[in-house]
Amino acid sequence: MTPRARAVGVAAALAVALVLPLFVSNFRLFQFTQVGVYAIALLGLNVLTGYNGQISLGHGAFYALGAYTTAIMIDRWDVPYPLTIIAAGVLCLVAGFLFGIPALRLEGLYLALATFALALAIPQILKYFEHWTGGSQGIVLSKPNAPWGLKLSPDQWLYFVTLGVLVALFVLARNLLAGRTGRAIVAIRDNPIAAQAMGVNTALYKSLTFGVSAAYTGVAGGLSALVIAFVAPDAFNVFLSITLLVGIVIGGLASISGALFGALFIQFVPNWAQDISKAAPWAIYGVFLILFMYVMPRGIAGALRLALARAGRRGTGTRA
Amino acid sequence: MSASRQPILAVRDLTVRFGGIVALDGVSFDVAEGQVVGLIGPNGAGKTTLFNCLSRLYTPQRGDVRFRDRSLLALPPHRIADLGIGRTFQNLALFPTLTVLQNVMIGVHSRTRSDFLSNALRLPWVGREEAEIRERARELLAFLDLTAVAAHPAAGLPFGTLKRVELARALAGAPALLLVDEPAGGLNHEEVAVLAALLRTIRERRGVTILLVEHHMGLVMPISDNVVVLDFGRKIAEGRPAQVQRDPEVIRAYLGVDEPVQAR
Repeated sequence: MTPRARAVGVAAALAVALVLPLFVSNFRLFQFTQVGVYAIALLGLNVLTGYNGQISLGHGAFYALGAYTTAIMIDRWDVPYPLTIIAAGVLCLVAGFLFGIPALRLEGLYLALATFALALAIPQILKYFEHWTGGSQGIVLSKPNAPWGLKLSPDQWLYFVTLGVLVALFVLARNLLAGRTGRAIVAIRDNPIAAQAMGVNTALYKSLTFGVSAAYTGVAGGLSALVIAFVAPDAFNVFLSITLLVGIVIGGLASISGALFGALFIQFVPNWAQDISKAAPWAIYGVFLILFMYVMPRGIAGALRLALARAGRRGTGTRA
Repeated sequence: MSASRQPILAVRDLTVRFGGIVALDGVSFDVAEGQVVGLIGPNGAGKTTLFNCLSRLYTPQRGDVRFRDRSLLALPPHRIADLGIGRTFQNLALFPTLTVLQNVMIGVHSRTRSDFLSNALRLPWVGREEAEIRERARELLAFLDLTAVAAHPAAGLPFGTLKRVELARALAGAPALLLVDEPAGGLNHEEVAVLAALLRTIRERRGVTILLVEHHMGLVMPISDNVVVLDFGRKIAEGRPAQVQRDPEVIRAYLGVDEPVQAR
């Protein structure tokens, strides 16, 4: 029942995603592209925090690194944008891996603080290297046109690019987490000493997981630079890092689909809050947060899983 | 005599200090291939410390541990399993959120080699490896009568069941030497008898050498070929179970000088 239900769910979500551009305005579509971008970043953070148990309050820094890699490569050297996205991923893979090595000495809240420092520092570092980053002014890009004579607006084209990257990265993450490597990643979270006794090189796995996580978030950052066609330091402040953490918790820790649900939340709930009250949108947002955590303590993905299991049990119950 | 056989494990002059406390004081003994060796001693005698040296969780200040004539002290903890040494933990160290089957599948980690890239790309040989891992784990679940709980998360199962899951996980790495830390703890009388039979089967059918830390004399004495007795970090006796049981030094350590002899 469960694998079948999952396959149906994935197929339905893909079908909706493919026809969505026909039914929504360009602005709405832009928002959904953002959802896709966030979903990639959240999946990266979830691999690290949800599956491997390393808390990061600084993934906004890798998002920024990815965004600026793409922006600078296009702005300075006119590099074709698909290459810049790959470069953003590779650079963040290396940066994440290297950050993961000293992070081995830190556990739980101490690691959270160390990554928090990264998030705090990044906007100022970006401003400091003004020659490359354009300082506070940032870098303005132009959105790429659809290739091969496709009759798509740039926003529509970027939507499909993001969707393609999202699907590819979700499949890779699923494969990674379903096999020997994924079991080891989770084993380290559950009991690092036992994992070691089973032959898991915990130090290597943790740094590699950090690298993979940062790479996902970096690709998301690179895509965001294209989608928004603009990067500026203050878009990558501490609040972004916290928002990403909110996304994985609301969406569902250690859940692949949770990244998508979390992305929908962090994209649309602030807007709803704004619609409800212009004066105190963050208070409304806070109420939403508490409400979600109260009603779905295991995130949206966890709540769905529970509901499906209940429905399944009821189904077999009536048949029996 | 057992001494004529090649020792699979040789502990030499092992000394571990924590601050001013000497946990192990120059302990030496051999484990011959195919034997069951019982490591006994009162609480705090240094048994678990010795185990933790064997799995490289502690580094001794002095002495050596050689497995098939290779020093373990030069290796990091995660390399011990693929040498052929498996272990269970006194207070259970399972992966609570994973299923029983997945727990046992991690036991095969040291015998397999797919990595981040090949897993993410799901290369054809990775699929075959995964099938082999699953097969091996299922076989062990059947052997330890765990098939019924295969899909159950490890958290929330009865203690005795979890002990068997740990054994299955340790055996999944196809060890030549199995370190078993207090397997009888928390088990009732019948369960201990079942466990004794199980350990014998593991030794006889799977050819696994067993080093057993245990308090429960009813388990250690019948199944051990050799018994090593520790007290306050020193080896005070070694020999066949019947010999050791008569040893006045052992009786004193366990029971105090004038107390009558009891099973525990």
